[in-house]
Amino acid sequence: MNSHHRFFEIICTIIFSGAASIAAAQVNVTTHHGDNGRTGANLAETVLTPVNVNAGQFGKLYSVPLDGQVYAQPLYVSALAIAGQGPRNVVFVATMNNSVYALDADNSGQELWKANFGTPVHPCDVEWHQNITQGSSVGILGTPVIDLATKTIYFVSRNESNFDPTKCNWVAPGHWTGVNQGIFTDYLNALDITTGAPKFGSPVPITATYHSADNTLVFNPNVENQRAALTLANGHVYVAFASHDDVGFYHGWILGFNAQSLVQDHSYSDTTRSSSSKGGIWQAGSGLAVDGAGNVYASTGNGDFGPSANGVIQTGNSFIKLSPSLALLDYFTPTNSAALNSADQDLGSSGVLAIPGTSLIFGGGKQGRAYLVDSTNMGKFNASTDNVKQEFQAIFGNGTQHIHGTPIYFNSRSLGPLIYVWGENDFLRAYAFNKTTQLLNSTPVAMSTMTAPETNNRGAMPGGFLTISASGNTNGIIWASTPYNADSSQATVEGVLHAFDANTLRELWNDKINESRDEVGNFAKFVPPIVANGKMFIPSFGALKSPDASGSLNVYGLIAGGVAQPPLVPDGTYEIISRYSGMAVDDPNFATAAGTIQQQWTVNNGANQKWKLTNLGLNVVTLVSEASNLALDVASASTANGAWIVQNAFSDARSQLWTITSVGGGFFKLINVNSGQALDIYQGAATRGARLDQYPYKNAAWQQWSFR
Amino acid sequence: MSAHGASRAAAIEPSPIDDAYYSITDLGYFQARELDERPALNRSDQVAAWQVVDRTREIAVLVSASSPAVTLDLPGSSNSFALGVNDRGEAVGILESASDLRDTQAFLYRMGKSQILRSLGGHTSAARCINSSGLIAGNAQTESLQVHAASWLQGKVRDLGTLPGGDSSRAFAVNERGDIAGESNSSANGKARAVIWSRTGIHALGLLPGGSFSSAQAINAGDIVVGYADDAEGQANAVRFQHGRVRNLGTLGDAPSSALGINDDGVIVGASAIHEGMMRAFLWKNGRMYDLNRLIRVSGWLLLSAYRINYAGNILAYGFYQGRTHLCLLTPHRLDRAKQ
Repeated sequence: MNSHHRFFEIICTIIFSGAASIAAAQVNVTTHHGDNGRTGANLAETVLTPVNVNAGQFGKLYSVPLDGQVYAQPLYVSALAIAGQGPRNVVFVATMNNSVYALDADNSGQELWKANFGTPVHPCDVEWHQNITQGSSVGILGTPVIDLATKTIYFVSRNESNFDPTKCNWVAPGHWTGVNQGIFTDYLNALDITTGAPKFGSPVPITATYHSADNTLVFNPNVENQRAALTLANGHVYVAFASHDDVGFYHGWILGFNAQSLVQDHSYSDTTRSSSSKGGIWQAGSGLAVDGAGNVYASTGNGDFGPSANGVIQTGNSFIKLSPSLALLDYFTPTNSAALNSADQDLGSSGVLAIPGTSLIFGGGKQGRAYLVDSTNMGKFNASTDNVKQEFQAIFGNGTQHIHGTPIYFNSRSLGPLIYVWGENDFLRAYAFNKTTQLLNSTPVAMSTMTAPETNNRGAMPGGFLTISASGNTNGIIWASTPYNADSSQATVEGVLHAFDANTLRELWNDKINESRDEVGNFAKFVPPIVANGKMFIPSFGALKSPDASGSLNVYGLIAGGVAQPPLVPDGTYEIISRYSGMAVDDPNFATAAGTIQQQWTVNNGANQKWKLTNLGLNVVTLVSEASNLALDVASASTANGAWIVQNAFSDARSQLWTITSVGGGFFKLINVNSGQALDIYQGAATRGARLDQYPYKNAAWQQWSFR
Repeated sequence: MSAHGASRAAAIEPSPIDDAYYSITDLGYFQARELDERPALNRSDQVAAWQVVDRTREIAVLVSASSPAVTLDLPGSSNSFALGVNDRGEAVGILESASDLRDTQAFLYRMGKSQILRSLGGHTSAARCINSSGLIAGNAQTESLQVHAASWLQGKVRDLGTLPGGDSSRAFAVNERGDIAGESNSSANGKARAVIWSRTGIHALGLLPGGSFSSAQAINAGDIVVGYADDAEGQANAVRFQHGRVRNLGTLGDAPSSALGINDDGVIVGASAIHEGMMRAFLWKNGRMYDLNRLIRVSGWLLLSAYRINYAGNILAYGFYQGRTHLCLLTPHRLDRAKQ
């Protein structure tokens, strides 16, 4: 693809403002993953760097409670002229309660305007197994899109009438039975982003038909679910649909609306048999990709593939390329598409990344298999082999290895182009893209040390959702939101946020290091963070233990007065010596087994007494044995008095985090972040081989340690 | 698309079939691939499979309940997967380039030595099954870069061809008679349908009413074939092909389902959703499909898929155990009700 056909559509605009409170050069995040190539990158971040993103300098600034769960990625506009209030940096958030908020990003999230769009769809009518919602209505689900030129935000709201609660049956937690007894209506909305007022005749009820040689399909809002982020291109707003719980004869619809008149004038359905179904466009909420010629790309789910009896190409389980008017131009359907259908292994569980400066698109689905496809010759369906540029196993998850978060892209100054993907039950992986060969190296150049989720990672959904902040090709930081310790497919669970150095995937920060300050709360499913002008924005499904259908926006940045504190004990490899016994923390007999209880032993210069200390900020450290490469941990992450100190596979679990505090005389106490208890010699023994445990800190010499 | 979830194994209940229940032997950590590429089981309960190493590579192994896993000594640094094993302990499978999954070579592992099997004039090949006579079946690329079902015997490769008009076929199973089951299309780049290659040639096994594809995944000594096929609504279902008829075996509650193994008694195993993509291992017998999780007498397992069943009724399956996915062998026992 030549320069006229470059995918990367720069929308991180430079805005110059005279307002004293608004920085000079700022970014806008107007669409899912930042641009229509879906790179996930903000390359104009000048405040946050790998140096200052640490628990000493970076943390939560504020949270804003919202009126519902948030599945939509926040959007951001710099220096927006709000009537009567002058220029403001504004973050926009949409909720499942059919509300849109405009919040002042720099003033504790002060509400600049809010608009609500009526009664959303009740979950008992659409979510029998609560894949999408957990006790929440279904209102605005797909991420909105903003047109800066007209200062317009577009989104789809959903309403239900004739809902009869007596016909809903709550059969189990998160499980309803119901039969779509209500009448659903989807509306395309267009609002003035400076006021929240409707424009262009908004709202417009969504109706559509799709004609093919097979038949004429009629859009049915009772089975279609507006899932993917809205996409703005070619003077049109593109809106894609899937289903609820695979229920009903749904299809993978994409509709095109004139952005000025809101007239629906383009339509496409990837499956056309009226007696059949599927081909939903889920993409875990990601937007459609768009190339420089305005062609539109989507990844589709399980469904019909190949030609129908009337010769209409069905494109379930495919990457599809559509013209601006939504005519099918090309597609790639894997050779094993029948097997994918037979095991519910949708290709379209994530969206596609358009690799900047190339004609290539990249993505994968539930198999964890990544496909690199040339958009000028996508390969169609070939019964013998996949006619793609490359395919490789990108995810090695435990139990399931779905890719849900669309891969993101960063051209690192030191390492060149990198593509990041965090599949479920696996590690975050960075794959290098070779510009010369136009192929990826299937061996990752870096991996995180923790999986998503960090524990209970057995068939847990949905993996990590990523964004990048960088200044050009330097100071790259990967920001990730994942479930922390449980499967979130049909449950509301605790979330965790991470920041990683983009070159090494070394963790810089997470929200558990200073949990009382930084805790993100319940994981907002499928939502990537965004970064703009020195702040990171991420929704949650409310604080931990908050009721169903809660929502909030959490905002992080440099802490006022926060300064880099030199660590009490610099990074390095140390012996950890008891003040009481003079003996070292020791891995018995150089054991390499996880769970081995640690002891004290005469100092002997052995590798089993050498611990690699890594600071995570605020003097929170991890300690990894040189002999076993396992981390110092509390058995079973116990919080009980006297729980044994063991070694376990390094995971960055809270029980592997230790806070170092000076007690004077060159000695320190080590307090476990998870339990709040001190590293301790069991019963204060001075004998060789005495086991180590945790115990409330009593200022005892057997709870005090030096590093040398 | 559906969500996937996990839950603990169902509470132990009296077995609903033949007063039988299953004990489980853990065969270790295992990472599954697609349906068409799964571990194998022979009469001696020897298992051909693979293990993940260094979080990034997979290597072929032979496993049994009574001895440690044996890593197959295969050339190169590629990934390798053992997909078939016969009663003499000879294994077949594929070597696969880590950088591109399409780049595969068929191998035979016999008497501690490995041998790369020839293609059909193209670049790639895959061996998926082997019978006691040493007849191997799989697929290989032709000079014209089509993929055809292939068989290998005593070092010679044979193109099994396609249905008339077709350009692609694959073989997945072979029985002791030398009959081979798989799939072939009947038009250029058309969808596959289940087929059997016998001494009389290639024969299509049919579709479900209104369906568009089918695939044969296993065959027993009586030429009863099982696999999967889509129905008029586009849902994939486990099916049995017998006497020229296609029988829909149903599901455990929700589509999709797939039949993956059958023994000479006609007992069938596979995987089915219970709802919304939550897959469970099933056993089909005497016209009924059972969730294997309800037929085990061991807690802590959640069986997701049953791959193979052998002559003795032992089942090769995989599922969650101790927080990770493990391969396991299920052994049937009779209940002594007098002792309950």
